[in-house]
Amino acid sequence: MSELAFRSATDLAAAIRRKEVGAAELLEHYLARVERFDPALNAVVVRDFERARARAAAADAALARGEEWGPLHGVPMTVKEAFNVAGLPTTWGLPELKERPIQGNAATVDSLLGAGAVIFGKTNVPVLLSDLQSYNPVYGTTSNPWDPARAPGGSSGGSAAALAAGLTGLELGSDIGGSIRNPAHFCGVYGHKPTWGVLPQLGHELGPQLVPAEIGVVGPLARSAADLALAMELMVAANPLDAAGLRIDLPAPRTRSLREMKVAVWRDDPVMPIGTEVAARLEHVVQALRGTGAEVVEIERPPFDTAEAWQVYQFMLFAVMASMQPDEPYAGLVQMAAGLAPGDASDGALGLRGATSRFRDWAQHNERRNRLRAQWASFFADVDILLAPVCPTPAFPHQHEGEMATRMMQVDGQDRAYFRQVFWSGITGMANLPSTVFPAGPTPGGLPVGIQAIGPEYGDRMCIAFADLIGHVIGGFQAPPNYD
Amino acid sequence: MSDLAFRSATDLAAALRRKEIGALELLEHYLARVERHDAALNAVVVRDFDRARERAKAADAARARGEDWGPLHGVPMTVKESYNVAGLPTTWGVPEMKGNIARSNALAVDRMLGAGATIFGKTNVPYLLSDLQSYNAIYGTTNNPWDLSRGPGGSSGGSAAALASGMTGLEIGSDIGGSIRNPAHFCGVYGHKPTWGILSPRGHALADVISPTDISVVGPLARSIEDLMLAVELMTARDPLDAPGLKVDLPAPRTRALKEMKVGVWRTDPIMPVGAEVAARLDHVVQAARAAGAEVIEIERPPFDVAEAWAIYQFLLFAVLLSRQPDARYAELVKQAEALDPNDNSDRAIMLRGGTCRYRDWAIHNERRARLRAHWAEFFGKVDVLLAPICVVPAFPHQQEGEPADRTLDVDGKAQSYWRHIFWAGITGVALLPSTVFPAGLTPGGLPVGIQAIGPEYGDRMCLEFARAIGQVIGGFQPPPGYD
Repeated sequence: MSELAFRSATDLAAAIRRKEVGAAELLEHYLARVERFDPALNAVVVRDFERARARAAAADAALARGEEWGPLHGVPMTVKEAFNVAGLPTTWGLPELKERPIQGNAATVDSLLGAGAVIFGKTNVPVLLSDLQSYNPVYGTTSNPWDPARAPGGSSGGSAAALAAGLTGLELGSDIGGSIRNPAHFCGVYGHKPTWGVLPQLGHELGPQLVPAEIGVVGPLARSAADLALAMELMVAANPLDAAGLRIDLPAPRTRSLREMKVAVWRDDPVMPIGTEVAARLEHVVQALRGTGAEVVEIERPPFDTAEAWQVYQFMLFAVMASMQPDEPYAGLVQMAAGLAPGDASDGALGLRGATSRFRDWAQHNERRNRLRAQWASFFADVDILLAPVCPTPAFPHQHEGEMATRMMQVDGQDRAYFRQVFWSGITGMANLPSTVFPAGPTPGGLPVGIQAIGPEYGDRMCIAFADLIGHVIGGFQAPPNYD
Repeated sequence: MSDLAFRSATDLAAALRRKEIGALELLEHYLARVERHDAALNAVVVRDFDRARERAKAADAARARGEDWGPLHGVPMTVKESYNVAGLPTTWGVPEMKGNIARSNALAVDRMLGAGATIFGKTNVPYLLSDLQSYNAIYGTTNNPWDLSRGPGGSSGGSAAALASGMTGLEIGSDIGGSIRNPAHFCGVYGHKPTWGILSPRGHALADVISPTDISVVGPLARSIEDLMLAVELMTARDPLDAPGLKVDLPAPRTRALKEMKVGVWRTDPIMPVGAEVAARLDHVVQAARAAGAEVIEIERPPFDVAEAWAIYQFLLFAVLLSRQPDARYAELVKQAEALDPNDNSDRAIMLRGGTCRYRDWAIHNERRARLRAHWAEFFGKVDVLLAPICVVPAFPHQQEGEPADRTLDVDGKAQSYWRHIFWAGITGVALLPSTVFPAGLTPGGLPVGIQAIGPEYGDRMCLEFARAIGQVIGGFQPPPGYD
């Protein structure tokens, strides 16, 4: 029955609907796998098995009475630790929040429960969701199921690891600098980073917060593109304060045929050069696409300066991240920023200036960001999808020393700034663009590689449709070895 | 033919449609009135008569061919100077911007032209749209048609004065602190401040900034409620960057019958006590609503701390306004803010702190504002509209000495802070609420008074519907004496 664990959520829902498997039975299958594999992985760090068992039993009883709760009726799933689930902790990896009672569900959690899902736990994150790995003093370190010596990515690292290892049916993550996308890439699963603002962030928060974070989004991870499409459909909604008069209306894909699609490719950039293993998988996708008759156009991106766009992103990212800091650490940042040499244009200096920026400076950067958005809108008037890497390398070995901002990493033998791995996510995320990461086959060393299918703002359905179609050509999710 | 000049835009459009009058003939009528009356008023400060004549001729020719350009086919109108109209200056009263000739139209201007309007000029504003009067170094001072020794309000002062004196058919203005609403009140016309974000401000900008401004909105002024309803419908549009996936979908009014409406009344507040003349007109409206069978509920507002809400408004407002200051001036303001006594809670101190705040501090205030929005949303579960003053006195004598922050105004014999006149507009504007100002009759001294009908976010159509219904009871627009 192990292949059951690796089926898509939509397949599992169909099997439950056809009564090939019961909700309680399926849940027990996943719980047994968590007991068996998670001591080594440490992905499902908050467990709510008893309530889940009661709900699964209720789901079976309801189905027996002919009731259907929705398209996820009885499907076992987990969510990232950062989402509020009533009765479970939300800590974002901070020990001081361990005992904090959580009373309500996040808006998206409610949508998934409303569709019939059985949530049995929460998955691991880095401290303050701020790393491409997932370790913290509350829950420890999550490992990559393809190689436990390596990280699963972050901040939705527990989400991706649990999916890849067949420990859960569906996942809900979040992304401000690739936090859905790099874990999907590092673990070989699907992830969708939605257009900013189309899914409510309410309840994905450290403290009660009504205003959605800039650049930040919540979104699904899964083992199939169809699961992403379903999860998006279930969760799309305007922020509650705006729901009375604003409606999200995502346009249908222009075409569902690869040979009618126009696809651009952005292969590399001097700000963060792409390693050969990832480049080879991107090239594989491009060749496969050409084979289907799709039109591949050799334009990379709108004509903006990527180094400048990268600066704008860092500035805005750190402004948002620092706005969540308590008074004291923030005052420390202000002091450090005051001590910067005026000519210091390092990543660290840019980050500090953004973190402590005045509103006027932020507004000027926001205007530059909006001009980039306008450039992307023109770009996507001519192409349906832009393919790009997520990260320059596949999963890297755990690296817990030092700060994220000062670590180095190796790309094809060259030293590169660790932090710059977020370049390929941030440059499009800052422009609010949707992006679906799909598995693009393993490296010669047997590690998965994911590629981004990026679309215009609100073009989420086109990105996911593309990921679905290309998956039929190059193959979709594959399970890591040793998780039978 | 003078009564023609005071008819509503929808009446004029109907007369044109029925060919009772030609577009050119009607335009010449208004142009002649501008020549006759504007020397004393100085409201229509940018004139584009020749192009307007060409367009009016084309409108007549099109009509003769059986074409219909839209619901404003051939209606002469003007727009606030702050909107871009291709070929005309956009200066916001800033002398350095005198040579700034717009190359394209604002989106709202295009919507009006698309509906068939003939735009023949632009109307006066204060420097940087930042006053309750309308004078500046480029165009001089606009006077109130009810009494030339008084101001017409601001910043859409030229708009309201031109409408009241029968020099234009329809107007579009803008509002961040009452700039549509106080001119409507001071000149006795209608004005609608829409819910934030539903009418795109693109092209209502200095230096071609494309980012929408917090709190600020664009909206119509007119001589009838039907005109406001039509103009709001024509101007409804999300920002172009969001339009592909975010739709504005304003709910219909809960009821159109006054006797089925529930009405709250906020009569006065210690922060800015309302003068006897305005209070009397508000009470007149309340009595009339009651007599018509409306349920008047003596509930003023949600249970928030008004002083705190006022502080949040000022903070967020000055963050926006001072971010438009040039670098050197802004640096000076930062110095002044840093020298403030931490216990100084004067309006000036609040201005400096908000105006120079860091992004984190802005985000904290933005979150506090979101809580106010949630309070208001709950409040409007109990009432359909809230009646309130827009300013505490009718039109006041010109007062151009000093900075607005340092002036005082006489209210029932007491000197009150000039600046605090924006309290009644700002307290709801900061919560993004829609508000229709309607004429509520004259003071014993013969000056007009307008009252706000405030609704929930996205409840624009309810506000407008109330103003329509109450107008049938208390009467609507009346022309000032001396403009036959």
